[in-house]
Amino acid sequence: MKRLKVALIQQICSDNQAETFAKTGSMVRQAASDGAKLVVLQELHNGTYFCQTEATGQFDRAESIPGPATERLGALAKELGIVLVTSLFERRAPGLYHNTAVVFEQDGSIAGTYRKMHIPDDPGFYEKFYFTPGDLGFTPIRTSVGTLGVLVCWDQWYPEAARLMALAGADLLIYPTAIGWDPTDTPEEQHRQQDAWVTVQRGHAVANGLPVLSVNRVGFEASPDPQAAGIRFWGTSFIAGPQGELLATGSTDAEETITLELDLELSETVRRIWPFLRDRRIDAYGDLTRRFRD
Amino acid sequence: METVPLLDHHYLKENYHQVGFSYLLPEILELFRGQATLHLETIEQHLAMGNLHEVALEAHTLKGAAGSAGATALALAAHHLEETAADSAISEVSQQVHALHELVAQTADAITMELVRLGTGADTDVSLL
Repeated sequence: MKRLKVALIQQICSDNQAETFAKTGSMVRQAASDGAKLVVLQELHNGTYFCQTEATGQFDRAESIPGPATERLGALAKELGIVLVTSLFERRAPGLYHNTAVVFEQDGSIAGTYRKMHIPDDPGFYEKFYFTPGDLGFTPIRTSVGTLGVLVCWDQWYPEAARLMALAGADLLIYPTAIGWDPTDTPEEQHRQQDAWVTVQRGHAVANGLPVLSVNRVGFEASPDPQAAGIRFWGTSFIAGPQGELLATGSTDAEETITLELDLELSETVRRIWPFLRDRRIDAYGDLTRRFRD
Repeated sequence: METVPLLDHHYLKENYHQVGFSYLLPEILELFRGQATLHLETIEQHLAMGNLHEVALEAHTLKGAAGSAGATALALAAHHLEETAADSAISEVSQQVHALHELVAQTADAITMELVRLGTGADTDVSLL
């Protein structure tokens, strides 16, 4: 049986970089010491979620890849002998930036990168101002522990992205995320949003017959805009099995590491009884590449 | 560019289509098909643990088995893995092992086809030997 112990690091971030880096390092070290071979960090884990407003000064946070952040995180992966999924603000060229996931191998080498394809622009999440949409396609990253279908946050609302990763041989779908509530929303609305977020990703697990690992930021971050209410990131990082079953879930308000041993052979078993890939009507899906069926 | 065959039929004919031994060929191919999967699993387990020296050692074993069974493409890939694994980045070895995984599957299919062909008595000269 092919098993893989995975860990999701759900944390509160501040712009005190030394403190944030130390905390991330400490949580990752603990996960590795508990036996995790694959550790996943949340979206843009190096600091606060800066996209609550549009400010050119925030571009100073971006780094080239490879760069100082990949040096530091690669060294951590190497020290612990783990595969580490990270999420960085990439400076590709002057005026050209991406929201990029970088996967490190156990020896610290970069196994691959994924540039976020779907970029949101809704109240409090003004990412289109900062990030150019990815141009690396939906290509899973091959690692020593399996083929990782790494997507980022807003990508998680698109079944097309999950499907393309699955069709390219992903063993797991992984979503580093930063999503939260507008504190002025009603509790009912907040519950609907959180429930939809979990449900849609569990749907990707079911439809593609593979596990989903989703790791989200937690805690309240004030907005630089005094008129805005800030964001309460809802945590709830989770691991779902290939039938969408919830195997582990984090809390909505606390930092924690969610650890679980996955049976990677279960996907094949599930796909044999639910062969959704076999029955796809690819002859009739052409219009999926159109914006709208006018 | 010359294509390396999944199964070297010339090699198989030279080495196994001989008086008194031809009956062994289906058995050898079938045995190797199962063994190749086991070697691959062992390689993947070592890779998951980051043990590249052990990856190279197991690749050596797979190379020898593949060569004996006439699985030329697989033997070449295993040889390359054996030669490079210990001194390569894990990200590079992962790519190689993934390619090896696909090659093992293709070789298994080629063996299955060959067994069917032999079973139909296509090589009558062999069955008579």
